Amino acid sequence: MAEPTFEDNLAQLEKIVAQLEQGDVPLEQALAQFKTGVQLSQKLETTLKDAEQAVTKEVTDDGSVKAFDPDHA
Amino acid sequence: MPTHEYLSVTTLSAYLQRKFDQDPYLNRVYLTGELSNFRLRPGHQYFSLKDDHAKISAVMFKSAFNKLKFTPESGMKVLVVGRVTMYAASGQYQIVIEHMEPDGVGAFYQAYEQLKAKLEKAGAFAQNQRPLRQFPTQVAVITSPSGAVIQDIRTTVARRYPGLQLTLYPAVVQGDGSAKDLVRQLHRVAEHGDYDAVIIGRGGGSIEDLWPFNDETVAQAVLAMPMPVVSSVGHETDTTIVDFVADHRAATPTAAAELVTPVTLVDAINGIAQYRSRITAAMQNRLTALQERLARSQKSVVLTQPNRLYDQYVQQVDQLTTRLQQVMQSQLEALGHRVSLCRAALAPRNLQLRLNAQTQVVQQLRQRLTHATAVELVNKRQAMQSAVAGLDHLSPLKILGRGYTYVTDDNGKMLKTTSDYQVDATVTIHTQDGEVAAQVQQLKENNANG
Repeated sequence: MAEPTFEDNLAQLEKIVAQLEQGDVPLEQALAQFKTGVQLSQKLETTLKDAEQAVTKEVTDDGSVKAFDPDHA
Repeated sequence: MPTHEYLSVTTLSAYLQRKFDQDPYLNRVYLTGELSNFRLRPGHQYFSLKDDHAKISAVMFKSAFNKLKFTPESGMKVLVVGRVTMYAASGQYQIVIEHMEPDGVGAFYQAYEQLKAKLEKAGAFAQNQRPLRQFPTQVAVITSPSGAVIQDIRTTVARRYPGLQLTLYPAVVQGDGSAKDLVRQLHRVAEHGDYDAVIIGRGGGSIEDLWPFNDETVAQAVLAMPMPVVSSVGHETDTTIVDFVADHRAATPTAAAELVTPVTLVDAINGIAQYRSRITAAMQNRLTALQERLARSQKSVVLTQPNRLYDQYVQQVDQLTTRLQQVMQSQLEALGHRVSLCRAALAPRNLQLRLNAQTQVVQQLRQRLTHATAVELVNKRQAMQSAVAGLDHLSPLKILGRGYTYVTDDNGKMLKTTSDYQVDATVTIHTQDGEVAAQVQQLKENNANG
């Protein structure tokens, strides 16, 4: 199975939020969900916070990739 | 001299004006000419159209002029559509222009309209309306490397969602070969395949400048893209075929960059933190509620004062005991009463009375018994006396009295037959008045018997 995407994890988190707020999940299950939810939220937040500012790339005609330099375009 | 009716200038002008207005040909005129005396004004535009031999005044009202996709200049060859009217105040006729386009691009427009109609009919405009990914990782940009487009996109993406990897596919965006280059880069982006979206665009320009984006091969390449396409071609007023066939159209490069980054990093982080606090709060509430429930149960009377469970029964037992005692008491009293009644009945005086009565009965019975016995005795005696009298007649003594005797041996045994006697044996003869001792001399049996 492919690694879940950011959106998959976010959807999972949203589902957990909705279920926990609804309050009809058995307590044991709710605790497990809560744990998963907190882990997911931390993972998602870390993913976002740790993402460094991406440098724009340029694909040249010969297929190679270089950093895009607007001053020498 | 015949009399003439003189018209006023106004009357004549009104008449002429009506002639103009009613003429079916002058109502819609297609005219080609060169712009002259054009000077941009803030409101309505007044200028002339001319050719080598003639000239006509022209007016273009603000509403029509604002729709133009180009900026007119004096000397420019134009194609106009309008109606010819007369302006009575100056006695001039003029053309009121509804639509104007540069001459020479008329062919462009025709081709554009034809392609637009064709693609629209084929459903190409509604074909791709794929949603954009909320948290994209890679987006391709097909545009000129030197224009403002890529700069605006980079700046906007860096501000909103800096982690997004932009990849520029530099393309020639105007002039000959531009359409071919755009198609080539579109294909390269499609082959790469991993992009969440592709932005295709160029800055504003003349209709000729934007022409590659009205090219059918470009339009088909856009339609075939495997990921959502965001177009940003020219200014907001320019709508190219690429804009129509793209999944999304942005008015500016900045808007295109905003479209591919629907959620900003700050919003995303805040949103996730908010989710976390929501589940924490939900969990907290849940636990608090459960703790309260538990505490309520723990504080319940049953658990804290278990004796209350049987207090009622104790009371009931007490009540029943009391009732039992009362009932026993009354029962005993009733029995005691009966006993005392009986005891009273058994008092000695009463016994004496009864004893006397019984004694009397006994005496009576005894008297009756004595009497009856006496009577019986008399009766029996009489009966016996008569019986004895009877017996007396039968007595052997009576028989002896008549002369009979009987003989016994020494032992007193009565001798009845001859054989009972023995010779010389002493026997006793019993008579009526005594005994006679005798000796047997001889035995002689009667032969009659033997």
